[in-house]
Amino acid sequence: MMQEAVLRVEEMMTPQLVPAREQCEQQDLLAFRDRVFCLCLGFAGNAADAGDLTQETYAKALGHCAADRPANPLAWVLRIARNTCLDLARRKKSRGPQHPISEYAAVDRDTPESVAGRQEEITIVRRAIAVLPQRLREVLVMREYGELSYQEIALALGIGMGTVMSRLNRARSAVLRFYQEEHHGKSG
Amino acid sequence: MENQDKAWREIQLLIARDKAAALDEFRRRPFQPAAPARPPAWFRLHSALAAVAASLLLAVALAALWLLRANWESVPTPPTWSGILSDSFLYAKAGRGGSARFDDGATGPVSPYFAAWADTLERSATVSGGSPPTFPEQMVVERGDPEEVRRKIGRAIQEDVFERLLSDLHEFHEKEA
Repeated sequence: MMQEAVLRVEEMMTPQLVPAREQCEQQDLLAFRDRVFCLCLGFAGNAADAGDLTQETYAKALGHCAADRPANPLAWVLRIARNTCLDLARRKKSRGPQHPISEYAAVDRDTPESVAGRQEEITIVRRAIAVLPQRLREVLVMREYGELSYQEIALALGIGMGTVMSRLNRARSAVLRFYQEEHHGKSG
Repeated sequence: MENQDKAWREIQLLIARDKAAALDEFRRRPFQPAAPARPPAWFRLHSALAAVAASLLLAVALAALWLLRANWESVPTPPTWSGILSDSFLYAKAGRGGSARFDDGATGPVSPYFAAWADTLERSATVSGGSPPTFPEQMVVERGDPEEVRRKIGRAIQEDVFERLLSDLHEFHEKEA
């Protein structure tokens, strides 16, 4: 009797949630979890924020999956992730400048010196990406962190393939310049 | 160009290591994305009902008020501007049609500090030898003789009336504070 009442209340409270979840699971949305996380890592610059952003992205995706019925679920969920990351960046910008932190940076089973050196290099790369203009950063992050093809990036951002390539080229040059300046500045 | 490609491959390697390490950490954590808490359907429907209920409640309240007071005339009206400003000394003076002087002994809701200030001003004007300054309350400059106005202002400046007025006002404000 009691269980029936609880079930009835649940049906009343979440009328479309269960079908939406089932549909999203059918579409294997959750299989893109790692790619979503990597994209968020590229945008956020640290693993802790990337984890939170991935959760937030999936919360949005699961909530809207049934209504939106995406034709290309991967592109759809990555677009949600990108927008979520940009929202966070905007919120952080309004709170003041922040630098990407180096927690959870790559740690291998090498000597402590090499690990420390590599961690520093990764931090420099993250900073180089963080200081890029948004239109260059999003292309670079989608390509290098999200592992999207040029065509997928063009579709996701609504720009031409040529624009994707030229932006990617400029972004890479800027990151390299920043990295070399910082690296030589520290080692020299 | 080749150097740049080589350098970029190094960066790509660093990015790959960064991703691998972060993913390792991420996979160890529980992943339970919570669906956004959407208000249930009955609640969304109720927001419209709440507006109707609020309107009905207001109508009932107005009817009750009317029944209690019997008519609208007996409902207290909000205070008028003159009522609010009647405490003001200058407003009270202006209301007497320009015939008032500081020493006319008129009674009214005048602050004792204002009265003291007015007395001081008049006394200091008498001591300085000149005639007591008069303040035409409702002077319309456009209709007056510009020369006469200029002359009066010049005389007032020569007799430091404005400076004394300001210092008195300052003193008054200090006392009020």
